[in-house]
Amino acid sequence: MIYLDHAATSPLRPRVWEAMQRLIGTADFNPASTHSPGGQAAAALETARSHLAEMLGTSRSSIVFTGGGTQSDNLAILGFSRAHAGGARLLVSAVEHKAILEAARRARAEGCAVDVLPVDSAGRLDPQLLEDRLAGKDDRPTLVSVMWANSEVGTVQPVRDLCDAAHRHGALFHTDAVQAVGKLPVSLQDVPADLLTATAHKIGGPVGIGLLVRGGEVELEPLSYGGSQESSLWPGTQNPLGATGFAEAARLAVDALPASAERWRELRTELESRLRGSIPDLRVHAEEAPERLPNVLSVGVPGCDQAVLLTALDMAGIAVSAGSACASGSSTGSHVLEAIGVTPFGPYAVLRFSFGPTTKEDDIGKAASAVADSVHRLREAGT
Amino acid sequence: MSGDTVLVAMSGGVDSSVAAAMLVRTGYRVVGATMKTFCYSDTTGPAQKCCGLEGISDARAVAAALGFPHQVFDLEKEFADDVVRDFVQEYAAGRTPIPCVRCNSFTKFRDLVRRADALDCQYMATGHYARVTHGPEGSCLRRAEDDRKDQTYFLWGIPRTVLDRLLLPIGDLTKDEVRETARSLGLITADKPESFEICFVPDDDYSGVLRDHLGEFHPALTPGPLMLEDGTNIGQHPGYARFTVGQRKGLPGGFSEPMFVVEIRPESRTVVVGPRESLASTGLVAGEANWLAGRPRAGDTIGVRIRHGAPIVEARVRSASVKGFALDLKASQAAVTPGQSAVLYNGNMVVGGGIILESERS
Repeated sequence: MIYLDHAATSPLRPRVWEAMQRLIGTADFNPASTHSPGGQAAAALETARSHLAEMLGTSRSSIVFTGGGTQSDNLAILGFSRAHAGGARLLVSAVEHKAILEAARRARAEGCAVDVLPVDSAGRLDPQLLEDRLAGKDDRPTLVSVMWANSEVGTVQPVRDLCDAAHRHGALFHTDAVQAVGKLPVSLQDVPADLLTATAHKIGGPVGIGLLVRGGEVELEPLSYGGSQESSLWPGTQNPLGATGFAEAARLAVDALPASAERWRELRTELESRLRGSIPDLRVHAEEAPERLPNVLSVGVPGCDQAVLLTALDMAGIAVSAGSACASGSSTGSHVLEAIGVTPFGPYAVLRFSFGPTTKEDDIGKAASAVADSVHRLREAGT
Repeated sequence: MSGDTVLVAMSGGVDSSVAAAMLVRTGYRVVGATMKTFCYSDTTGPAQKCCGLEGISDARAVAAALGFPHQVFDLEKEFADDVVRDFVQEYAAGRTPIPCVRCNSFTKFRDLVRRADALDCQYMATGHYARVTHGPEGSCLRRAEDDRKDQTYFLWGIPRTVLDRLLLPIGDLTKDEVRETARSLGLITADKPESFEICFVPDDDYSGVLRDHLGEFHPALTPGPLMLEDGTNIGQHPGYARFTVGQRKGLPGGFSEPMFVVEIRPESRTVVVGPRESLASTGLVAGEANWLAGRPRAGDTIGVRIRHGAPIVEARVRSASVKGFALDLKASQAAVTPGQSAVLYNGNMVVGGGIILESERS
């Protein structure tokens, strides 16, 4: 099986697993316990925290471990909205992950003002547009949330400019960097965001642990209660094993940059040109974006049924997805594609290829031929 | 055969799980497909057991356990056009449709087959209780070994060409044997309860579906006269689409014998009621015929089933064409209901079937 769905989950890297295993029997205890084993667990957790903080260019105290990206996004959006008892204002882009959009919808139901900002055909939010929306007097506490890079089509947002625009108008800035960490240089030294989401399983770490960076200025109301762990923002028994895996995965990914990104970019270019060569009416999503994630390529094949094409590829040993991992096969349409103006009439198969450290050049050729063969066969059969 | 590719339709229930497992065991290359036929978020309340998200995740888990690929195929649009719309129109016309028949005839054995073609699948399989035999004289659809579970009543509309590539692996098993097989293989669906509801009708409230599609002021859903066969008006009913021929529930009492719906006349919104003997039909006319074996000739004696679970009774063919057929029933049958299917049998072989248009009462 050729696995080209690293943006969904990038499988646990052996060295991450080794790092986690080293804790078994030595530090896989409750970090809140006051005995020595508990102390070992706390030490492992705090070591992981400080490594991650260093890599992200922030302080150790600002790292809040959570259960993953969705939880971090929810904590940012709802935590902010609830801290201001619904009297706050949120501005989010139309191409955010559902973890942001659905949390924002909830915040709106709780009285928060929510503004969903349109993007251009490349999926990019224009900093000037944000500036315009923020102009004018509004005393409500305001949070802007724009992802660093898009999971479905790969568009990299001008986060630096967006963050500056937010700050110029006294707003706070959150960025969901789940897909960007380990693929692009992500540092809060370059982009002084107040809140940042990251997760382990997109970079070969374990599923079930993520983090929210919270700058000291940001007031958040926790989403659950019952403990003082993680500054009371994410109460519950902490996860030293997960945190250690997360830190190791991040270290491996960040150390490999920029060479890994350069390699992925070449693979992406090759895959793109091979696919275009065999499928003339292929559409590359967000291709006019000034910068895309090096490891993500999203294409659309008109006249092909998406589920049938994905099945054909699965049968041919190629694991790709349609853009977001949704087991129910929902094809009510992707909100991201809709936001960038891809609203095809009739069947349209979306394929998102995403690479990881194990992706080989050979895989690209095989995937490209499998796609060409399958598309050809589907079109002959009229699906 | 062994090594050929088969697409198996998987609802996430025990029957299709075992069907898939048997195909794997026989040596087929199997691909699992779950049809998404309506939007799950449109239905409220707990997920439908077989067709909801749980059905999808169970089907995926079974496929993964048996080691073959699985995908959810979106057939929402096709299903809405061919099945849901017909369901609504039939009720509006005073008939009692069976959406499962049309789902088999169109969605499963036409639209899903088209996808099987695109995937180079020589065969198509389902977990229906029915059998299909492939021989030099052609392919035959036959009743299941377990007569109580036999589902041929819902399968008569399969395109004949599909029969040649259809596999029904559990047709020789009883339900108990199916569950036993599932348990012995450790399939997570082994003890799943059976679903009897119509998948797109939440809580069995079909009039709610009609209301959504027709609007609450449609003639089929608004009051009309309740009448005896001699034309005596005995009151009002709340909408003829809420009734079916043979129904007793919801009718006024006070008669010397139990009363039943014997006829629905949509043009005047009338629901006609009468005693049990008025339900007796001596003949029927059916349309939308599909012939799976040779079309019978006038005068032939044939077996017919007029309702799911009803016994197969003898009839004489009055006429049979490409489009439809008319039958004289040897013994009168109660509640021959327009909209239901009339399925014709020769022994255990399905000859064909059609939709009942008229019930002939003496």
